[in-house]
Amino acid sequence: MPDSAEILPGTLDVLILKAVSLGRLHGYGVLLRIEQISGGALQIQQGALYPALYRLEHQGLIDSEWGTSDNNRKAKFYRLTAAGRKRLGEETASWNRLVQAIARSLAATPQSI
Amino acid sequence: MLSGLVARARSLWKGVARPQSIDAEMQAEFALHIELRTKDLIRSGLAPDEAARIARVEFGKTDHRRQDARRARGLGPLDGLRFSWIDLKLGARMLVKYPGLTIVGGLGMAVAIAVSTSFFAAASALYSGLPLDEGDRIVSIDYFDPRWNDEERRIIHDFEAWRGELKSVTDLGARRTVQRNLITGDGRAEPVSIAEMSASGFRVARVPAMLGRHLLESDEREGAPPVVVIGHDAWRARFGSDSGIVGREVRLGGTTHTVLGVMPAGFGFPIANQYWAPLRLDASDYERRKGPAIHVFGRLAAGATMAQAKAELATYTQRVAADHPRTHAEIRARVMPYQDAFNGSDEVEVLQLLGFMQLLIILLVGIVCTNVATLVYARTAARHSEIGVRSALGASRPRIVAHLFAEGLVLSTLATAVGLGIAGLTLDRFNAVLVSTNAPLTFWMSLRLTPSAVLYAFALAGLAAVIVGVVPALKATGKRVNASLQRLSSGATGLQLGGTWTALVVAQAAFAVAVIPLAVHTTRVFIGYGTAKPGFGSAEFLAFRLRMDRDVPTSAGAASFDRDFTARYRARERELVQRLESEPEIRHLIHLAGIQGKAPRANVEVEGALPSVIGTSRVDVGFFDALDIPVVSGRGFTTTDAGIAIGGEWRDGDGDGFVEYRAGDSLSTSTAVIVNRSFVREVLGGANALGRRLRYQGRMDDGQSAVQMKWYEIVGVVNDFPATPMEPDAPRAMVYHPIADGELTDVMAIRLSGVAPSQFGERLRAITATVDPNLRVHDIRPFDVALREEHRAMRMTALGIGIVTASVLLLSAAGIYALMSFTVERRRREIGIRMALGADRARVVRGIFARALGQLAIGVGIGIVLAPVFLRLDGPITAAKVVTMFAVSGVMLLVGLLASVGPTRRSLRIQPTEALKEG
Repeated sequence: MPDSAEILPGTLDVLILKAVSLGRLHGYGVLLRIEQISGGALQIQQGALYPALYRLEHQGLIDSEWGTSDNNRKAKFYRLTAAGRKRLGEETASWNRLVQAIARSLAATPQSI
Repeated sequence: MLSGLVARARSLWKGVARPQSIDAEMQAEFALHIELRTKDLIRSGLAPDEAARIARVEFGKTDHRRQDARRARGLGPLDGLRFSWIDLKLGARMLVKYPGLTIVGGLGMAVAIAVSTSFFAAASALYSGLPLDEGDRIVSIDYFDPRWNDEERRIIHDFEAWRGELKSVTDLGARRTVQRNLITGDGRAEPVSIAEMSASGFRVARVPAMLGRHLLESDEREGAPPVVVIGHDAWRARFGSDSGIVGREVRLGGTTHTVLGVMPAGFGFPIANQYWAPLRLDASDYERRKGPAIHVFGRLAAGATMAQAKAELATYTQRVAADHPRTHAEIRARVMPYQDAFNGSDEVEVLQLLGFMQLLIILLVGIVCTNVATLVYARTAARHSEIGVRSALGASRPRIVAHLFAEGLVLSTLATAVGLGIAGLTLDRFNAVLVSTNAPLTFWMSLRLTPSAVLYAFALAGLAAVIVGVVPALKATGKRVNASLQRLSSGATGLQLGGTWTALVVAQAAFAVAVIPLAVHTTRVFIGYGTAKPGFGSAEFLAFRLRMDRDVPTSAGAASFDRDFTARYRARERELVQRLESEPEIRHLIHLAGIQGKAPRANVEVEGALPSVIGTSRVDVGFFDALDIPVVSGRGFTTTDAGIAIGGEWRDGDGDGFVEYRAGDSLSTSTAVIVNRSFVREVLGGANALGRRLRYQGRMDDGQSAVQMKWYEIVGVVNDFPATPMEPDAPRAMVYHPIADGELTDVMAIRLSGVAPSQFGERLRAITATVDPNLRVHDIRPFDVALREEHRAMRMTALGIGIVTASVLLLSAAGIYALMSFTVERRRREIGIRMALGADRARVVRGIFARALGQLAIGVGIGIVLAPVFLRLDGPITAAKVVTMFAVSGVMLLVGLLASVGPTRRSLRIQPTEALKEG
């Protein structure tokens, strides 16, 4: 997959938070949603997904409940909690600051120094 | 932050409490994931089988995912340690499989836990709070004299001053304890302890009377009618729970009192009292720091703190010291929580001592557990192949450690259950002793296994399980597990012992030889105290103490008070003796210088013989006759020998009501003494004793002192008495002196005929009360019972020390046995090969034993060097102590040898091929 990118360490959690902030999802749904919103650029290693989900639930950032999936299967759905929403906001702001800083750095020319 | 913590705790709890449902949920979730992925792959054009395979491969092993997920939930550490009922069941099975280890180790741990828990229960009883409304605000106030490191309780003037001016403490009251005869209408007389207390004491306690009323201020006034309030226990036992008791009259000594009321059950303020009378004292009767000893108490005023009370008293101390420097310059007033005046926690040393003892006792548990751990390790080593196999089958190290910990836990829990039983019995016995010796605990202390004591015991069980289970397990599952697994096929024990074990054998033996002789010796001494036989018909005797009510002398009358009191006492005593001697059941009445049969020691010089240490005793003229002790040569004492007592006095040095008799002199020209047969044998070498003269060297224990002592003449020889010495180390040779006529001794005894001593006590009291209602008879007991009770505490101590010693000795022996047999077992292969190569059998055996004995001998040697240090803690080193030390050394060496015999024999029988295979 030439156009897919490795996920930076530590960013999977914030991507999951973002994915479930858009609506409740089951585990496989989270995977698809991240691929979708990244335009297929980000692919999640399937093995890493569930530990991350459980970790976030353990931390109280997401919540889960059992429900029925589109094709009528029993599935565990995750959704964002208030604490998770707050964390997502912080992480997004922090990420944007980092991206801007790096972009500025990379745009530097001998004249601008 | 907080919500995060709550979420974590909830998720952890879910993981611990419902592990199965968590696992099932994960499985379902994973299954759905793989199924949906498979469908997507099929949609993208793959064949169903291929799609399913790829989906599974992409997902990875579900087991791994599950473990990752559990770790993410914070359940990782639990997974490592998780142990189930099966571990405990296996642990229980191990107890049955290795009964020796179970009994020896379990017993040792049980005893250590019993000792520790009893101590904990006793110490926490000492520090329990007052079970009264806002009991923590009740305070004691006293004066402390740092020069004598003692309280000054003759503080009636200060008490009145405090009552008037202290703002931070209200309801100030004082109390003291007096003994009086309680005489009821039927003529029954019985000495009781009465709290003379300010009426404010009942306000401080905030407990209303159950019947009638408690004391009021009006009862304290000069000229108010005499009244008494009684406690629930006394009301039930002494007055048959009479509901019409209020208003009835009882006599206390010579005065008739009206019963005001009955206090409810459990109430014993200020100490453990059952009778209360108003305290009527007038400070103007006494000079400063003179008069009766009183205890002052009160309640912190509303809103006041202990710090404020302390500051207020400090100010008072300064002012009074300036006003009355002669009496108050050196002493300082103190205020403390009420119960601290009883448990000594106002003194830092007491707390330090208690803490130190608790530490020592926990150390004892540690030592015992280390011993048991040694045994367990030897067993674990023998099970090494089992551990290797389990490890190979996928058990992680924490898992194996958890399993071995469970085994330790089963053993230590069992030991704790037994230990709690022992502790409960011990505390019960101790309570019984306290009650029987008239020294009950305060009403708020109780010696029993409180929930916190039980909790403490189980905490110790946890500690024990860690030492016994985890430490050997960690060592046994170290790096070498894999190495040993490789050799497993040959069946060799792969565990290496090395230097650690040599050190353990040496330390074990050294410890046993150094410490156990002292314990054995101490036990022997205490058992000696406890089992001595009086050696005469002591069951026919009734011993008792006589006391007479005594007021506190006012300063005006102090000069002649002791003399007048003693004269009155002497007259009354004489009257009583005459009355008793006219009773037909009383064959003899004798005065005793004490009940416990302890003889002061002295150095005596006999003309023509070397000085010797002997025991001395002062006896009534009729003593030998009354006790049927035959005079084997010469004669007994006569009244002329005894002479007449002059100058002795009853005194109450510090006004606390405890009087003691200071003996005076005897007006006699006779110098007659009687000696026993042991004296003739040991001091005179069996030569004729009659007419020989002896004198004491230096000071006598009874306080007589003269640079040049006078000569006494031996006029008679009696059989040894008592038959066995009451003190194990007491000299058997005795010199008896006569008690002067009219001297007031501590104890009297009567010999009865035709009536059992136990039935005569009440009659004795009734007779005494008719002679004078102020004359009290205390501690009436058949002589044999009195002797037994004198030594009950000793016997119990002996039993305690004995059990602990025995368990330590047993453990040490078992530890050495296990270690020795293990070290020899380890050399099986080497021995087998040497035998195969044709080594001389005798030489091989010698080699094994030399090495085994060498280690033990080093330990025993160190122990023998150290033992005198411990043995000296308890007096000089005697031959008996040395014998004990060598006996323990012998036991240790013997055990070590025995332990080596079995494995050596097995090694010698081994076939060369087997020996080689074991490589």
